Amino acid sequence: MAAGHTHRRWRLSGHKKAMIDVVRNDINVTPLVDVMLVLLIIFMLMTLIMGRGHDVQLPKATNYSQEKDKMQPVVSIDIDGNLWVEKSKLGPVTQATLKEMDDQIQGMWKAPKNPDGVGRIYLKADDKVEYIKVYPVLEYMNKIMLVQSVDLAIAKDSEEK
Amino acid sequence: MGMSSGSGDKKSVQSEINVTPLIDVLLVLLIIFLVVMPIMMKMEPLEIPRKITENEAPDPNSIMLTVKVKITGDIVFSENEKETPIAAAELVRMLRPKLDAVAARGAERVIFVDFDDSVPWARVVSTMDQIRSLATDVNHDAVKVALKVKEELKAQ
Repeated sequence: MAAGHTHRRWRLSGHKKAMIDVVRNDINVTPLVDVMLVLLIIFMLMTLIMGRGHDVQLPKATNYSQEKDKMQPVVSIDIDGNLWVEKSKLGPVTQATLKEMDDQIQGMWKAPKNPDGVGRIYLKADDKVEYIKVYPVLEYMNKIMLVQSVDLAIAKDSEEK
Repeated sequence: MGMSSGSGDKKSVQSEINVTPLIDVLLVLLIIFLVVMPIMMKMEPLEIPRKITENEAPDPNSIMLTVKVKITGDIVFSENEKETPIAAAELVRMLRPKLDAVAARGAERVIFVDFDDSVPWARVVSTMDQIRSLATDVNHDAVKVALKVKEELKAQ
């Protein structure tokens, strides 16, 4: 085995000497393709997985409006009634957590990633959460934060009537 | 490359696949994904009107249309405080002429919604969705859904 190997080596180098003028001058694309494929897979996965804010089971609707992400703050209310701002959990809805939410949102509005998102809130509430858990949040946004319209997140109803 | 040492060198036939079109396709796909990336957010806007102050006269042409959903699933429809219980299935059929009347008077088409405390959020959104189905424009924004601020919580 080892002997055969060395023999081949020798033959190969002999070849190279003979064909010294034939230089391969095209770039090696294999790693390029590898990188592209990996990037492609990453982007495909990101579009599938990525959603803003905490992941909740959204209620289904058909008569929704659709907009590009304006980078407005995302507030979520999970099935246990916990309040989330973007990906951070604030805990059950109380005056303290609502104040905390207010502070975080005001901060995001002061340094907006997209000026169109200022003054807007995207509210994701779990479809099984009771109205009484969501209502104080809406009321707080209206009374204290002076928001006059809240965008309620929905999921597209796949079985459209 | 080692693999070409066997037969490739002798016949000098290019046995590698042509990767250029492959890369082209991949690049195009990559660009498509990059462009699509700004995710589309699906939403139903809920208006929360500020409270009208006492010295402010409300629009005389407007009619306050309120839909209250009870935990039993029954709906109480009220028009300027006059209440009529209706079946859940009748909601859209009931609202259509009312909204047309509002539009005929030149007022904004707004429906106030109110829910019992333990109504699940899915029911809240589906009620809003039914009301918005009355709007015929693309984004269903011609009919506005507004939150009715609960009286008992105002006292706090």
